Amino acid sequence: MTQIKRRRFIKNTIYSGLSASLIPTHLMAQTQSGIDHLENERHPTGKTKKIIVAGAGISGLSCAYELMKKGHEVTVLEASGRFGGAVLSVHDGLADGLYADFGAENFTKPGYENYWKYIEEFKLTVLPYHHRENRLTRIDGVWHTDKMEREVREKKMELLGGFNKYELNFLKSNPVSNLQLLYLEPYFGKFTDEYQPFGIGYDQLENIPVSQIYEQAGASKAAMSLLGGDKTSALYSIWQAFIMHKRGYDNQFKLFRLKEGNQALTNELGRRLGTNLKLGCQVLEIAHTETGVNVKYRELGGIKEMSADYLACCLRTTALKKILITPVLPPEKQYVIDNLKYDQTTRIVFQARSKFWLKDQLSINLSFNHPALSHIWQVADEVQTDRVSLMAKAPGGTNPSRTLDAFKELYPGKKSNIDIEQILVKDWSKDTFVHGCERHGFSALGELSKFWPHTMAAHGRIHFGGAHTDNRSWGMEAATNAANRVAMEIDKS
Amino acid sequence: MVRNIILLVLISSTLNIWNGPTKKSDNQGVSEVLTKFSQLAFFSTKNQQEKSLPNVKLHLSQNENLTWGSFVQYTIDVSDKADGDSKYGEILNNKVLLEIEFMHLNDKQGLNQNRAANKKEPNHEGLSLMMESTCFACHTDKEIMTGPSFSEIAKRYEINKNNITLLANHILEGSKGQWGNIEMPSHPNLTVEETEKITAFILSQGSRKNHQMLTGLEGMFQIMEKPGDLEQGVYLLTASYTSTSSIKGQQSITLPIK
Repeated sequence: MTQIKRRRFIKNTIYSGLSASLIPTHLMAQTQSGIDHLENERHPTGKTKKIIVAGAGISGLSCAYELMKKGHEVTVLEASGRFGGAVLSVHDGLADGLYADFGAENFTKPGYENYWKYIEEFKLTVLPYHHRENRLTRIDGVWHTDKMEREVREKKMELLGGFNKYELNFLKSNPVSNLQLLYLEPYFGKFTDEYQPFGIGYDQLENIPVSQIYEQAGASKAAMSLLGGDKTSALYSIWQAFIMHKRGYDNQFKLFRLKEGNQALTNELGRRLGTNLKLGCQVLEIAHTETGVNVKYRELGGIKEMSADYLACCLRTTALKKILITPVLPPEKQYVIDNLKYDQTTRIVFQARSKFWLKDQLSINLSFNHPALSHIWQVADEVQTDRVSLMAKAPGGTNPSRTLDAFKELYPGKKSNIDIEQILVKDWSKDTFVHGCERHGFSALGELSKFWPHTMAAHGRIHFGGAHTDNRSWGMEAATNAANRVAMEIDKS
Repeated sequence: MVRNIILLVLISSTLNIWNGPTKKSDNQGVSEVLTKFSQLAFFSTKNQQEKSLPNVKLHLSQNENLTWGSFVQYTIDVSDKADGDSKYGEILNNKVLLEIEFMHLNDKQGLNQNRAANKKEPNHEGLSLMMESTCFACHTDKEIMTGPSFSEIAKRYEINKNNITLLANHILEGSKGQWGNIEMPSHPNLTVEETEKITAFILSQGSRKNHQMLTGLEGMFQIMEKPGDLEQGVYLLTASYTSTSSIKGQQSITLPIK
C-alpha cells in the first residue's frame, strides 16, 4: 500500500514538474506572420477608457485586442503562466516536427466569422481538416462505414413505416440531418436578434418538448424516432436551429485548422498585446461601483490592486466561483455561476512510426464508442515525415494507457501492424485554470430562462465574455463572438 | 495550465506493452520517466521516511461580522517536512480538504460537544480513496460540476446494499446517461471493495445537509441563507492535509454568524 501511494505521489509530482520545464520553450506554436503595425481606431465616444480584461483565453485575448484597437487602455490579467486557455498546440515530445491541438481542434466555413477575421488579419495558413470523413464507427461491436450506418438507419426508418409524403418531398432536396428544419423553420420568422429567444411570442415553448412540435405538425413515426426531443425544450431547439440556419450551418460545412496548430492565432493576439498582457496574475476579488471597478490579484505571491473604468470578465464560471465580488451579483447571475456545467475531455496523442492503417487499407478516422476511447484521427498530416501523430478523445479522467489498450484491442485491422511508440496526454478535467471544455447547453424543459440571457448579461461596470457566454457553445466561434460583443458593449458605454 | 501533460515514454522492450502491461511493467514505466525527469521530482524522494505532523493554516477573507448569505473566501497553507510547502506549489490540491459544518447552536458548551462528536466520526476510507483517484475533477460534495454532486446522488439513491452495489459498479465500469450525456470513465484500477467504500462515503456525506466538503488549497463558499427564526449560528471550519506518510494535520476555526 505504501509503495502504491509513493508511486502515485511520484507520478503526480512528475506531472507538476513537466509543466515547469515545457511551457516556455516548446509549447508556443510557430506562425508565419510577424507583428503588423497596430493602428488604433478612434472609438465613437472619443474618450479613452481604462479596462481590465480578466482571463487570457482566446476570448479575453481577442476582447483585449479589439479594445486596444479602439484606442482604450487595456490590461489583461491571466492566472496561469501561459495565454491561450483551451487553445493549446503542443509540439514538444513529438518527433520530426509533428504537433497536435490538445484543445480547440477545428473551425468551420461557413461560420466562425469573427475567428476568420483574425486569420485574415494575421495572415495565418489554413489547412483543410478531414477527420470526420470516411469514418468507421463501431456499433454494437461491429465496424460500420458511413454508407453502412446510413443503410442501418434507413432500414430502421422503413420498419417504423417510413417517412411521410411531406418529409420525403423535403428530403429530395435536403440531407436527412436537416429534417428538423422542416418542422422548425416556420418559427424562424419572428426572431429579430439571435441573442434573444424570449419576448417574441414563444416563451411558453420553453416548457414543451420539441417532440410535441413535430407530432402536432404531423411528423411520421420514423421522423419522430430520428428527431427525438422528448426531453428537449421546443424553444431551445427552435432558437438553436435558427442560429445554425442564420450562420449557414444547414448546408454542408467544411472543417479547417491552422498550420502548426490553432495556438498560432492566440499567439498572434498575445504578441500584439505585448506587456499589456500579464501572466501569473490570478484575480482574487472584484469590487465594483457605478463608476468603476477595483480588482485585487495575486502576482508573484504578493497581493496587488488595480482600478479601471470597466472589467471585461472573460473567466469561466469555474474560476468565478472562487472570486469574491462586492457588491454581490444579482441572484440570476449567481445561479449561472453556481450551475453552469462544462464537458470534460481527455485528449491523448499517439505517435506512431508509420501510417500503419494503410497496410490494412483502412481509414484512421475511427469512432470506437468505448469508455476509454471515443474517437481517433490523424493530426498534422502535412508534416513531411514517415511518423504520424494521432489524436484520441476520451472522457475526462481516463488513464491514457487504457486508451492505448482499447485501441490495440479494437483496432479493425491487423494488430501486429500497429507501431505506436509513445503517448502524450492532456486531461482537461485536471487543469487548474481551464477546468473542462465547452459548456453544456440549456436544453432541458424550463432550463433556458434560468440561464439566458443572464449568462451574457453585463452587471454594472462588469461585462461578461468567454465562450460560455455566447448563444452557441462551439469553442473558438463562441469565444471570439463573445469577445467582440463585450468590446463593443464597453466601447459604446 | 499544462500541469497534466504527461509524456509517457513507452519503450516496448522495457514495458512489453504488446503483451499487455503488468503491475511490474507499469512500475518500470514510471521508473523510466522518473530517471528522465529526476531533477524535477527531487522533493518526492527527500526525507520520504521522515514522519511529521503537517502544519495546516486556514485563512479567511473575513472571519467576523459575517451575515447570512455572505461569501467567504479561503486559502489553506500547508507545510510538511517530507512533502514540502504549499507556497512553493509542492502540495497537491486534491490532498487538501476544507470541511464546513453549520451548527444550530450558539452557546460555547454546545459547540464543544458538537466538536467532540465531530472528532468521533469514523474516518471515511472512501474519502481517502477518492482523493487518491480522479473523482474530484468532476464531482463535489454539494456544488454543481460536470458530474452529479454527492448530495444529488444521495437524494436519488438511499443508503442500502443494493444501491451501494449498483453505484460501485457504475464507478468500476463507467457510466453514461444516468445524469445527462457526459460519460464517467471506468475505474478498473479500483477493486469492488474500494468502489463500495467510495459509494458508501458519497451516500453518507451527500445526505449530511449541514456539512460540506471542499477540496483544494483555495476557494470560496457561501454562508447559508438565514434558516427560519434562528438569530445566530456557528460554522465550524476544519482544514486538513494528509501527508504521503499518512499523517493528518488540521486546523479548525469557528465562525459565528449573525
